[in-house]
Amino acid sequence: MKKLTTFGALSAAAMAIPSEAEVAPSDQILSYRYSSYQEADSPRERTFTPETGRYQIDVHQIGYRTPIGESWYLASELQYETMSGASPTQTYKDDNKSVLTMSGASIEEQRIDIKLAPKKYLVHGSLGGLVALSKENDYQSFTLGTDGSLEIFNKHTTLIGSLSVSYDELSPTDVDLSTSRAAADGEIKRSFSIYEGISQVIDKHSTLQVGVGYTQLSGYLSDPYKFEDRRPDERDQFSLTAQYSHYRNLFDGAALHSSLRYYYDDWGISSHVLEVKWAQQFNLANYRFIITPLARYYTQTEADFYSLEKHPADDQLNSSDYRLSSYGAITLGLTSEVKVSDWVIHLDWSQYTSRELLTLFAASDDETPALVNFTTFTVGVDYQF
Amino acid sequence: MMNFHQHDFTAMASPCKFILQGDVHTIKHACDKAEAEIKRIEQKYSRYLNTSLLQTINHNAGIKPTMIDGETAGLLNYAQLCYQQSEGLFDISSGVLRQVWNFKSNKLPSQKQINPLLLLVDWPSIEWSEKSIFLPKKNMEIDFGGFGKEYAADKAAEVFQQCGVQHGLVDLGGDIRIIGDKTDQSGWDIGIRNPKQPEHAITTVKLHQGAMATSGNYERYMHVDNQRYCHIIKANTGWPVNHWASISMLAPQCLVAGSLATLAMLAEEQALFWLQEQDVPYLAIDIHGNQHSSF
Repeated sequence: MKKLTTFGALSAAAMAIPSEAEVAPSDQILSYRYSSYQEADSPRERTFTPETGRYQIDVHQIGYRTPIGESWYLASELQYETMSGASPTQTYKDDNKSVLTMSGASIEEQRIDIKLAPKKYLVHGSLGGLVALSKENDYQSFTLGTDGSLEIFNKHTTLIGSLSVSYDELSPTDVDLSTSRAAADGEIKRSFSIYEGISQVIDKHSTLQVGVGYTQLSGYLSDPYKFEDRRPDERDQFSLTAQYSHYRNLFDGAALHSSLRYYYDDWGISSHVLEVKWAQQFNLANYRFIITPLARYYTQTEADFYSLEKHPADDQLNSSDYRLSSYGAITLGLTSEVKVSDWVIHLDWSQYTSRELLTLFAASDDETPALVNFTTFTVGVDYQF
Repeated sequence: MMNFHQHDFTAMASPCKFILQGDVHTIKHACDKAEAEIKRIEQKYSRYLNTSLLQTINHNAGIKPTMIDGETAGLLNYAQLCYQQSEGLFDISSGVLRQVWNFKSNKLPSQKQINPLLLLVDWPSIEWSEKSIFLPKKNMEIDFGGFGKEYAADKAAEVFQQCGVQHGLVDLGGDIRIIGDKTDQSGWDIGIRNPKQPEHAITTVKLHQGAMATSGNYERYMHVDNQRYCHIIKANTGWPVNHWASISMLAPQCLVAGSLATLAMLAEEQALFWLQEQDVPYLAIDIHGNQHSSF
């Protein structure tokens, strides 16, 4: 017998036996969610049109996920949305104050989304696909995607990549109402996205993921329902993200997830997002609770062609869309789930508030009365069998 | 005091059980998954299933290499270390000797019967890599009988941990792996069989974590001319060990505890010195009933 090392050598060799593979989930899950998204009214004193009630969206979502064979998993989702309310059509300066006009009649429309995502679990990772179809009366979109993960260095490091393309077609309603609607009818918008990331287990309690993303949009990128909205027909978007998760043995388990994202595009917008979430688990008798408070801060600079001119020159790029203005936003939210037996009940709430003054960089003196505040509320149930 | 839930089943030709504490629903769900994991390992490495990966490797002996996955390569690497550490006494290709060692016959094989089989017990001649294995001689065979059950106990415990079960143990035919301490942190009482009366415990140990495995001469054996011949056979001579009645080891992993116990059985009279050097808790009982323990 050799001396001393047997226990150590065998322990090391035992630890080095890889788990069979990224294990394919073995349960079927049927889920339903109802979400309500309610935008706050626009400010009466700055709205030059009678309507101030903004979007209210109700979303019903049915999901079904199932294993197929030993190593395949299929996730499918059907979503039905109804939207009503008015949306901003233009913001312009009148007597040195920003004022807002809203679409007149309240819009009522529906949207249906169908999504299928098969995934193959391999020995050292997974390979997934995505087909998604979205249809509204004035817009339809088709997306194809693929994603993959590869585990290396004894599963301590995972390489992640994804690729997607989409093809959208616009068909605005009431084309005789404006030339921009008529011009957009039949127009196409394309996108191409790529993401590469690496996730690293730092120690027993923490992981870090960093990634870089690029999206190219091309085609008709203006909003045909807004006035004086003429945007470039191409947009290149870059992003850098870092996510750090730390797990703690507090009560029945807790996790801190924090993430930072930097974004830049060639329309002149750069943005930063900082998000912090705390997921806390409690077990009480046969119930498992997970409560997750979250806070998110967002700040962006305005697009080069953002302007509040009432009548800009027709050959000039222009938009007064509040999403292209300089602003900052804070989201506070709480998600909760209760698991008992084969059922999981979800209850989520969040409040989003955006303001000109919350921006961190290149603040503008212009007011943006179209900046939106909204509340979301979700109830849902999952059944696992 | 939280209730104990026990789940009994048979796998790998042994009585198996899970003893657990916690939420009943989580436990039931986890039991199904852990049992499925054990059966997965059994089906992959069974000597009795012609469709198993192990039997495919054996059927291809002398013919062609067989493709293997990372798990199998990891186990072969482990087997390689067991071979090296035991200086050839532990050899996963020694299963061919079962052809002449029939413990129900009460007859000893002759050296003439053993010698040709010893030519097939030859781990160093086996060509293997991360991707494939080739047994170079026809009729050569390998098996993971020497540590498969212990490996399965570790994997089942990991499944429980992944499913959120925090308190319990996995017992596969006496090889124990703790999932987590009892809810009151008082430790699990694990009995060690009395080799002379295997239905009775000779002592118990309290385990809060880790694993315990025992290798004993009472599992399969025969008596010929008042001498016991047990199923633990030295790969270099083809003859059973005959020094220890049983050796129990504690280690973080059941796989390691089990292999250390078997290696100690194979080391015979040199085992005691070797065991002390490992600095791992053990209880060794020799064939005369004398106990040596570091518990």
